[in-house]
Amino acid sequence: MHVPDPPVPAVTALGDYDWASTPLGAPAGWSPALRAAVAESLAARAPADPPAPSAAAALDALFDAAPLGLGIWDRELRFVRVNASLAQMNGLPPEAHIGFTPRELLPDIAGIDALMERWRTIVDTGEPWLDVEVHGGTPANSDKQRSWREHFFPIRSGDRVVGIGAVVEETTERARVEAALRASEARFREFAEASSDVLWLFDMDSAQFEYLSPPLRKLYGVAAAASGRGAPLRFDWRASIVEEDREVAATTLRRVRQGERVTHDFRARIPGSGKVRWLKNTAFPLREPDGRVSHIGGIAQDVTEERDTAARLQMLIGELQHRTRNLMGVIQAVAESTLEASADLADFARAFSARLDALSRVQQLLSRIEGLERVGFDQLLRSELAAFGALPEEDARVSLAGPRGVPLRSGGIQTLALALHELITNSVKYGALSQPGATLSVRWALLPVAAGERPRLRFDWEERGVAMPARDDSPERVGQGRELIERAVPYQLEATVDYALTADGVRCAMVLPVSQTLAKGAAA
Amino acid sequence: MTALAGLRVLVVEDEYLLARQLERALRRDGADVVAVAPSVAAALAALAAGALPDVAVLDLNLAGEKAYPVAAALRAAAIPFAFASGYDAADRDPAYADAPHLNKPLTMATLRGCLARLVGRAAG
Repeated sequence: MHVPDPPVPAVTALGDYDWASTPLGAPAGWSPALRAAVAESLAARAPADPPAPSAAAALDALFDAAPLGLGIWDRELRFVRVNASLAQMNGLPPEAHIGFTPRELLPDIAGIDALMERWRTIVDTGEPWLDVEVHGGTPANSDKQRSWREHFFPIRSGDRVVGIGAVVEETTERARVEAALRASEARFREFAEASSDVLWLFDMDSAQFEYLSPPLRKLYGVAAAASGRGAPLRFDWRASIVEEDREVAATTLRRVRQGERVTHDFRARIPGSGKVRWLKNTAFPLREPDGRVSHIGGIAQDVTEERDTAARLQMLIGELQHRTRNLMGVIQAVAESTLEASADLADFARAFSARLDALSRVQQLLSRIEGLERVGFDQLLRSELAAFGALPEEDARVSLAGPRGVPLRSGGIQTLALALHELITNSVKYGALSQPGATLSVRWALLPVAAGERPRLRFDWEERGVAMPARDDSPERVGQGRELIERAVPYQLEATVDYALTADGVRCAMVLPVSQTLAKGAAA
Repeated sequence: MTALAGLRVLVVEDEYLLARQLERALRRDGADVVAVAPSVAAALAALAAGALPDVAVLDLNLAGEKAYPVAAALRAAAIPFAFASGYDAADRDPAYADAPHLNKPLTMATLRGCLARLVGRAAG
């Protein structure tokens, strides 16, 4: 921020007095403030008409009215004269200064002894000492640390230095403001450096970043600016934005420059790895006091994972919706076909309920798997057998033999479950599981696969020792069950099915493609 | 006469129970179901075998594969078709945005009206 100087009076406003021969020197070398003070007091004292004021009167006026602290010491550094401004800074009346040294009056000035030494050098050498920062307390307010900018120059009489003149400007407030600014900026940096979000500051004039917080510096491979705010970080940030998103980024800068606050997503390519990350960026204008947008501030967040998760969720929801709608249709179809084959409502209720149970069991199996996992054939078979208390550990007539975890393809698993359900239901009603002397053996194995062929599972259902019922006993439902086994499974699973009612009991062999990706490892 | 009487219909649906139900419902309506196919390959084979339908119902998702190749073949043969899907219409390939989208589960009334419109008949 730059505060404009007040208008500085021209040198001519200071009259034609020979200032150069005074300790103040030629007006051209004066500070603007001194020049203003002299001009003001000359104007105030100027009579309606000449004569011009005497040089001594002008100097007195200047000395008394100057808003700067002015003081004169003798060779022993004792105050000879102080003006009202300096007396006020020191917290002592002007007359209380006379005859005392700064060391005696102002012991709380930092490094006063060293200052005294340095002032003595001026007396000795006649060299001025300018632009001196002085800090410390004064009797005016001894608790408060204040600061001044001071100039010291020799006062000569002929060749001899007879004393020292001092010009003192209080800078306490300015120093305080500057310190507060520094602290505030340091705090901002601490926040910015600690944040996992990316904070950045873009300078419109240089079209470069002034600040990038660590995550983005890392992303762009930019070193932190050593000198803090103001030093542009030169790197080709445009090139790091993926091409399709550059137009949006440029539009955003334009809109923010016009005063808008804009949030948009873009992709950045990480140098080196070339990986693309999604960033959500909010950019806002930072204005100068005159309203001009000089900088653009931004907060960016890496939303790559967030976006991936959202996309995955969206896909899962779509999948779930699809599965649910499909299942509703299947239930409707099962109800319809069960109704066609039912003798009465009680008969329908029993058969429909049993089929719904089979569908629920397979849904449970499906709901327990995640991602690319598949339901194993043994899981499906055992879950159906368990529903009838027909696991080998529950029913001595039953024996199972085959590898665990042969992964079934998800499409068609419901139909396979219903087919297994029909095999078991028929067995429980009319087959091996309905008769004490009979046995049921279920064997399965992965078939050897030629290169490029899909893995296939062969499954053999074999009932033995069954006294087969008379033809009349076999109701229409058996036919319906056979439709699921002999028609639905081949249709939907691209399976071959060989179903036979032998004199000894039911034999059913199926060969069906299984899931490709995980079959090998899971069956090993 | 029903709206679909004598109409030759191709049904592409991978779920056996749904395909069977659809086939029976269409037959009850007087339609002639020329083929029922569970996959893209089976549907294309049915078309290649010369059983050209007047109209087709395509399940969009056939055991993980999309029915678009069948849609392309039907379009090439100027045979109108409707999609049936458990997915939302928004997920569909925009190239086929002009084909009607029927949500599953299907109801016969909706299907009847849709097929009739596709072949330019009154919905009956």
